[in-house]
Amino acid sequence: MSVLRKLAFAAVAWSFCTGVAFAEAMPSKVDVRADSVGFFPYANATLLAADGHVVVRTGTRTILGDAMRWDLQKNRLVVTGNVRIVGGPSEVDGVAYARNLATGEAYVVRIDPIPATFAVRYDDMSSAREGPAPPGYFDSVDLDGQRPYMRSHHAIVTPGGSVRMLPAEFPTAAGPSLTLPTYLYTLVQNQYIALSAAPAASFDQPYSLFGTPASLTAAHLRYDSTNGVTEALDNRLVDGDKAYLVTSVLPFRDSQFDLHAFEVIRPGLQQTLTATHLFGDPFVRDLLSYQLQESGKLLTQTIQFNQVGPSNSAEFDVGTYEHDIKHIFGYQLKASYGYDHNYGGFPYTNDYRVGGDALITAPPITIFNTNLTAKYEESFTAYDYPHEITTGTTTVTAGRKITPSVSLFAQVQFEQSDNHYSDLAVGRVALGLPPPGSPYYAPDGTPYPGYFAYSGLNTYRSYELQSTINGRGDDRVQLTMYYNHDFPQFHGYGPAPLYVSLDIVRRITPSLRIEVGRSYSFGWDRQYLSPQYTFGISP
Amino acid sequence: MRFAFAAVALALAVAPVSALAVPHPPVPSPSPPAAAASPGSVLPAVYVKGQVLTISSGYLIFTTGDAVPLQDDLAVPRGIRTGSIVRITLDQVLRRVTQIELEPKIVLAGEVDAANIPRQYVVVSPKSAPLPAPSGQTVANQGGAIDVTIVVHIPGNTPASDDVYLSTERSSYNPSEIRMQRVDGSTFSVSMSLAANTTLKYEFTRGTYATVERDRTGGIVSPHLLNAVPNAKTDDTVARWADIS
Repeated sequence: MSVLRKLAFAAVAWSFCTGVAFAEAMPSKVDVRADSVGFFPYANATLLAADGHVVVRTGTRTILGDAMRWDLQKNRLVVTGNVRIVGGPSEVDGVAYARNLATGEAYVVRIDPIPATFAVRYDDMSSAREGPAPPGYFDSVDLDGQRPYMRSHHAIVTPGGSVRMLPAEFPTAAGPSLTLPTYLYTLVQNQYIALSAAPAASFDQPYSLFGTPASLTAAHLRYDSTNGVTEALDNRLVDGDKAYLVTSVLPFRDSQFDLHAFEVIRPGLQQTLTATHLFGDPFVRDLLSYQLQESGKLLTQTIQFNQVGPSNSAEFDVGTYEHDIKHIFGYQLKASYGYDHNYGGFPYTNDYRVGGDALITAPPITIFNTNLTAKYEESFTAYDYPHEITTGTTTVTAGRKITPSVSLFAQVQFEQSDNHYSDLAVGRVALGLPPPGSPYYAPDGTPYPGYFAYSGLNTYRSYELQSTINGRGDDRVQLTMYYNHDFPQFHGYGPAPLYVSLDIVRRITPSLRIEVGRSYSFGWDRQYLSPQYTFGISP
Repeated sequence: MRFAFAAVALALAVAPVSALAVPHPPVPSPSPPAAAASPGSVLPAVYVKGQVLTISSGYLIFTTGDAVPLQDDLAVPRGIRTGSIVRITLDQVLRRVTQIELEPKIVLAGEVDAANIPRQYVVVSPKSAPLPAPSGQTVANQGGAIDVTIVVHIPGNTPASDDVYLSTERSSYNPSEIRMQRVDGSTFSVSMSLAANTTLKYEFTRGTYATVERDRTGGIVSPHLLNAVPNAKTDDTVARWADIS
C-alpha cells in the first residue's frame, strides 16, 4: 500500500472515529435556568419552555435570551429576545436563535439594520453566512392557555433521556400546586421504559428517581383493594424493540420481588423469563418461568420450563396460527407434551402428559343491526397417571348500538368439563380433596360436600348483559349484570350466582379522568348484598 | 369671577380634545375588526395570521422568518410570547402593522397565513427571504379538544371474560389505564377527548404487561399512532397477546 493510500485510509478512519467533521455531538447534559421553566409533554410535542432571563448551558457554550422553546423530540432549541451565545470561538448575538442539537446546525436572526438570517457553524459568528433557514426551523408550539405538567426555575435535560426539575412544582386546575424537591420525567420513546413487573394495582403513581436513555429507576405509590396503600421500587433496562428487563420490589406490605425479561433473539425467535419471590407466603416462595418460542411461517413452537416452589414442569407446544376459511369459519390447533415433577410424590414424583386444543370461530355476522359472534374450544389433557381432563366451551356474543350513545352487549358461555380418573383408589389421595369423614366448611357455614359433590362432570353457564350510555368524550355510564349457573355449585366458592356492577367514567379536567365502580354480588358467602368499590385515575 | 368661571369651563371643554391629541397606542379590540378600511387609509386592511417568533426593534418576526414593521405607537397586547398565534392588521399605505390580536377565535374574510404574506409588506434582507414552505403547511389550529374513537379487533383465542385496556403514553403506558367497551365478542372500542392536532401513542393489553399485544411472531409492537383530527376513528387489530400464542 502506497504512503498516499495509507494516509487516505487513516484520514477516513479518523473521520469515522471522531464523527465530528461535519456535525457536533449531541450534548450529554443541558442546564436550563430562567424565571420560569415549564415542561409540556402533551402539547403536540414534548416541549420545555423557559421565559425571563434564560440561561442555557451546554458544554462550554452558554446561551442567553428572553425566552426558550425546546422541542425535545425533534431536538430543536429556539431562543428569542436579546440572544447571546458565549463560550464559542466568537460571540453570537441576535433576536432569535434556533439550533438542531443532533446535527449542530444553527441559524440566528439579527436586525442590523433590517432583519436577516445567518447560518452559524460551531457558534462562530465570524464564519456565519447569510441565508434563510429551512421552512419550519423556527416553528414552535403555541402554549397560550396551556398549563405545564410541571414547572420550576431550573431544569437539567439529558437529550433523549430525561428532564429533571429542581424543585418541581405541579400546578393544578384549582387549589394549591404540589411541589417536590425534584422530579425526573423520562423522554425515552420506548413503551417498556415504564414497564412494571409488580402485580396490577387500581392506582399506581410512579416517581422516577434516575434515568438514562436506556434505563429508568422509579418508586411507586400504589393502591389496590386487597392490600390498600403500598409502595414499590422498580428498575427497567430497555434495548429498543429488541429486549427489556424489569425488576420490581414491593418491600413492605404483601412484600414480593418480581423479574420480567424479554428478548427478541432474531425475528420470530424470542425468550421470556419471569421470576417471583414471595417474602410472606409460607407455602410457595419462588416462581420461575422460562419460555423459548419460535414462530415460523405455519407453526409456533414453544419450549417452556416452570418452577413452582419445589415442584417443576417442562413442556413443548406446537400450534398453528389462527386461520380463516373465508365466510365459513376460522380455526387454530395446538398440541403439547409435558413433564411434571411433583414435590412429595403426589400422585407420582414424575408424571408425563399430552394435551391438545382446537378453537373454531364463526365469522362475525350482522342481523337486524346486531353483531353476532360465536366460537367453540375443545381441549384435553391426559396424564400418565390415570387422569384425564376434557373441556368444551361455547361462547356466543351479541352487540347492538341502540342509539349513537346507547349500546348493549350480551354474552352467553357454556362450559362442560369432564374430569375423571381411571383409578379412583389412587385418585382419592391425589386429588387433595377432604376425606369424606371430615369435610371442610363453606364460608356460609354449610359442610363442603367434598367427594360427594364430585361428579366427574361439571357444567358452568354464565350470562352477561352490559348496557352502556356514552357521553361526550370519555364520559360513560355502564351497567353490567352477570348470572352464573354452575353444576355442582358450592356455597361461597366460584362465581356468585348474581353479580351487578355499575361503572361511571368522567373526565374532570383535560388531564384527569376518574373511573368509579360499584358492584354487588347477591346471595353468596352469607352476604346477600355485598358491595365493592373500585376507583381509578388516569390522565 | 365670571372670567374665572368661563376659563374653567373652557378648560373642561377643551381637555378631552387635548387628551386625544396626545399620541396614545390604540387599545386592541376584544372582538375581531371588521374587514374595512384600515386606520391610515381608505384601502382595505390586510389580515395575516401566524406564529410569533419574537417582537424586537420595531419588528414582528414570524416563525417563517418574515418580519413586518410595527406602527410606531402600536400597543402590543400583553401575553404575546414566542409561539403565540396572532393576527396582524397591515395598513396597505403605511405598510406597517396597525393592530395585533392574540389568539383570534374566528377567521376573517381574506385572512392569509403568514407563509403566504404578500411580499410587499415584508422587510428582510433579500438573501434571507424565506424558502417557500411545502404546500399545505400552514399555522395549525392548536386549540380545543376533539373526540376520537379507537376500535380494536382481538384474536379469537382471547379468553371471553377478559377485558381489553388501552395503554397510552399519557400514563407512561399504565397497562390498565383505560378499560375499553365491548362492541361484540371480538371488537372493543373507546371514545376519548384529545387536544386538537396532537398525536396519541397507545397499545392494547388485557390489564397487565404480561398480557400486552405482540406482533404475529411474538415480537414487540411499536405503539399505534392516532392524530387528533375531527372524526378520527381507528380500526386496529391485535395480532396476538404476549401470553397466548
